[in-house]
Amino acid sequence: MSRKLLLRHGGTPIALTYERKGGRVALDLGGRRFEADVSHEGFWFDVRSGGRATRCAVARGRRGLWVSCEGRSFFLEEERGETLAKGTPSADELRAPMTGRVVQVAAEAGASVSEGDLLVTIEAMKMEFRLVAPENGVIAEVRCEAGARVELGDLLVVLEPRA
Amino acid sequence: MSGGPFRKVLVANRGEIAVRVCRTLRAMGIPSVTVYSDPDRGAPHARAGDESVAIGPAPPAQSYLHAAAILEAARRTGADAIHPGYGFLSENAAFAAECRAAGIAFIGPSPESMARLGDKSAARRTAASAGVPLVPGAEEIGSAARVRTEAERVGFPVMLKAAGGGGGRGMRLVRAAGEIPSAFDAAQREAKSAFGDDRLLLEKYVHPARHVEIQILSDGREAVALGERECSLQRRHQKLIEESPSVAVTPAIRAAMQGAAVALATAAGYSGAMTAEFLLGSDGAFYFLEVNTRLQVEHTVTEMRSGLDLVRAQVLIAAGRPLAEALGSRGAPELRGHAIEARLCAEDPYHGYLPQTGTLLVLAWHEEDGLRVDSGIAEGQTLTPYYDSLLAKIIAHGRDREEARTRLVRALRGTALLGVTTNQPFLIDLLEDGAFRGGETFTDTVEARAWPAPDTIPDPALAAVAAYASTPRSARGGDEDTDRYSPWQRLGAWGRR
Repeated sequence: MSRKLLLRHGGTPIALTYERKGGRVALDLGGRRFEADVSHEGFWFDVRSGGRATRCAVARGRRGLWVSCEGRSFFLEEERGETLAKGTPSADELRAPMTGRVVQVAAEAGASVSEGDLLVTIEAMKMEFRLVAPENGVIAEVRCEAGARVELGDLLVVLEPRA
Repeated sequence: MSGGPFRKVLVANRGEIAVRVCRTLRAMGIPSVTVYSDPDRGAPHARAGDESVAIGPAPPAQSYLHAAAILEAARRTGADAIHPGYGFLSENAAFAAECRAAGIAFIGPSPESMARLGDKSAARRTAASAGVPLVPGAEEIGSAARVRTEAERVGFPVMLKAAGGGGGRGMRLVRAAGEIPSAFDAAQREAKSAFGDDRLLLEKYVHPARHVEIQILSDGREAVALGERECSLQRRHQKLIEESPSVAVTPAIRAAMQGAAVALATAAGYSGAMTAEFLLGSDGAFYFLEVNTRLQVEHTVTEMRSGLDLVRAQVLIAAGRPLAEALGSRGAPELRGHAIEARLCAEDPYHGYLPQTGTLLVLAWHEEDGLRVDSGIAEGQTLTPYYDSLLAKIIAHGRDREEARTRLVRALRGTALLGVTTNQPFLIDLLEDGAFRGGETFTDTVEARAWPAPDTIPDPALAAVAAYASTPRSARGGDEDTDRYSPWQRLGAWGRR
């Protein structure tokens, strides 16, 4: 019986159809098929495919699956109906990339900005990070102020793109 | 002399360095006390000593930088010495003086030598009087206008630096006059926030350059140099990979640099572990950068080559024992083979090195001979945004550079860390890159190039995910929604104080 996993990696959807028979997994990735022998112990998954053995680790976090393979880890969001699509930030919302403190707000509502212009500076782990305009546009809303603490994903600035 | 050097030592730090200092104290038979802030309750360092004391809330100023709370913890536990680690209070002369006034030994230099060397402006004057070559520059930079005058005098590009501390905070490169206002404001703000001191200095930017530093041990009377470490690979002026020896340091350069570092230590009457940092130009000329009056993050590289325990040496010297005793019966050690350290940090190297937080679902280190892992993290721990992003250091030793390099790459590839994005893949990229293999490492090597993110997920990883999804829940480990990650289940006898 084949099953389907709907995943998302950095905004790119991944539809993975797979079938498992004992230690053998057959995968279909958008029409591209491959097979692998997988054995596992705890979080370790030893994968043998095409004559090559690779050690991977997999674990589930609150928001999705983490997999690492030879020192490279990937976070895969699990699609659950519409919630993910709704929660995906649109390109003109500048959100806090980490939890920290706003040290400076350069963005002013109504002002025109060019791609690369500084909008907000955030401090975390004793370092400053400059958040810049992703494209040309007009600042529609400023939702943060200097000195405020912000959490990962908080909306900071809304930008209306302009061609 | 009877008894140990100290009755009990308090470690005024957190993370990997606090864990590492406790390890040496235990080996020396000295009871240890660690301190922790509220979010660090149950963190590995809080369980690394024999006792642990809560010292305050998350912000460093109210915990790890809160001198009164730390001294009170020392008094309460009967500690007669404090090891400050690196960062936090380690280069704070006022704190060292407070320790002395309280009758507690500060494991580090005297407040007087710290003032002479730790402050960058003062260090430049000490270096100049000791005949150590300096990068052209100016001190007491208090305005953007002054930046302009001095930058035009020594020539662009120039570097603005915090006079009161290191670690890359408060540093800004100024390539042209137009960048002065924003760079000056940012450097001043960061310096104020990180060190409580917004004084800046300016230096000509030597380019291309390598960052090479000399490790010194000194007892206030004599000093010994323990070779160099090259730390050119940096991002945002924070080191990523350090090695010893440096491929660019010839015996003649080494002798001159070690001589300069010993002269600095001697001029300051320095006692303890010290590092003199230099910029090495492509012509072989070197310039004094700064002195770190403390243990360095990368001291492990020197330890791997020398067999010395630098923390043990610090403790003995702070207790008044002579350098000869700190070095051991064989005297100044022979430096053997090659050692390379990689700093594993909770940051996204492909998106502006943004700090990352989260819960460590899986943490499994690769193990083999010639490898050392100094870690401050544990499975199940939640990483908070309050402190430095350094999680652990992986150090490989080999008979030569290539053996150390391949061992370190194996260690990084074989380590599984899930739940938080780290720079692990980027460290592998750097170590495998032609520039590193060829020894072409400069201070701008990391930031001058674009390092593409690994965008496609390898097939084996997808096969593992499919196998995971079809494995019964009871047979797999590492999931976040199980109770085994409650820090309370992992606390030792001292955890619930």
